[in-house]
Amino acid sequence: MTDTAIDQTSNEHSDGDHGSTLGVSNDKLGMWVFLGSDCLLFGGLISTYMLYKDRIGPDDLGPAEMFDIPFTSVSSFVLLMSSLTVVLAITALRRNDIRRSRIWLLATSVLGAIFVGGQVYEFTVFYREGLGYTTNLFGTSFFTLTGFHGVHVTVGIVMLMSLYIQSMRGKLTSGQSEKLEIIGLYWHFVDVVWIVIFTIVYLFPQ
Amino acid sequence: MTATEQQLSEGADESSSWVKQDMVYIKTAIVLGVFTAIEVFTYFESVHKAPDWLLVITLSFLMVIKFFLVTAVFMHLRDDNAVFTKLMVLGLCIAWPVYFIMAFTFGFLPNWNPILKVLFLLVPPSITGSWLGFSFKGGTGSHH
Repeated sequence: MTDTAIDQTSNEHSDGDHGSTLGVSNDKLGMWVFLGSDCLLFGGLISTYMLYKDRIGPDDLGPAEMFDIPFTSVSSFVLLMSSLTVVLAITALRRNDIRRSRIWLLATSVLGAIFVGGQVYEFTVFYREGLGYTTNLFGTSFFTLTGFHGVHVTVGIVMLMSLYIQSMRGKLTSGQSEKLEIIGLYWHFVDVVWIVIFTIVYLFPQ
Repeated sequence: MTATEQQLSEGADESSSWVKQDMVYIKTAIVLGVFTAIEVFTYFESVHKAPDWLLVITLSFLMVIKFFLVTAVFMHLRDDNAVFTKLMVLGLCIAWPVYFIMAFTFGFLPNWNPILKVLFLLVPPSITGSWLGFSFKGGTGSHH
């Protein structure tokens, strides 16, 4: 590395400019890399579910008897719409419409909470009907896959609420919209994963 | 045009561009909602009697379109550096044969003719992979 290059690098760091050569900041690039690794995690969990979904005992209830498709469809729709509210929050923040960005942030968190609430309700119903985590391999793989997704949504809600609090304290302005964009990427990823889970786990013929 | 009029005009243009952007997101969400409704429709008795392979192909097609709509529009993949899209497509090229080999091995898909299976496993990723190979321009190699 030449002296000029070293000077340039040290200047970039001292200015707090952490842009990558890909035209996005390192923070955003880091989120993309994390999401790439999360794809592998969910890919493995979905494959495991596909392999084990038919491994049920003769008296156990299977996916066809357990799933309540209309209920899960509503949950899926709610999560899908939360992707819209988060992009609306981002555009509102970019144009410095702080009040509207807060409303959309709150709406996204509420929609996410409704989805998680629906999942908790679904798990409770399954448990009461006799499908526990260790009942059979179908139960184990199903609860692991959808439970991991539920935890991702919950973490997303916590991050969105922390941004909401920052916004209320005046620490989230249009100049810092990238914070929300990065959390938004995570949120959309969670939505994309659910699109795949909903189709493969719930809708594919059993 | 006076300075005030010019400022007002610029403000109106900016506002109109935000409205347009929001409308793109809203239209995308409507399309996603409609596709989800079609997916759920396949669950109902009369449609569910259709052959399994037809349901699987239809649902997979809708799932892929929804996946790409969210990543391209909501996650701004279409506006970000093309290398992100290429990396995602590269991952999908590798995932395609891996997942379908698993699907054939465990009987999730019908037991087709072996030649048809090989073509199905290799042709789509090969075509896409070739496009990727040509699309990477490569650097000058001058790292120093």
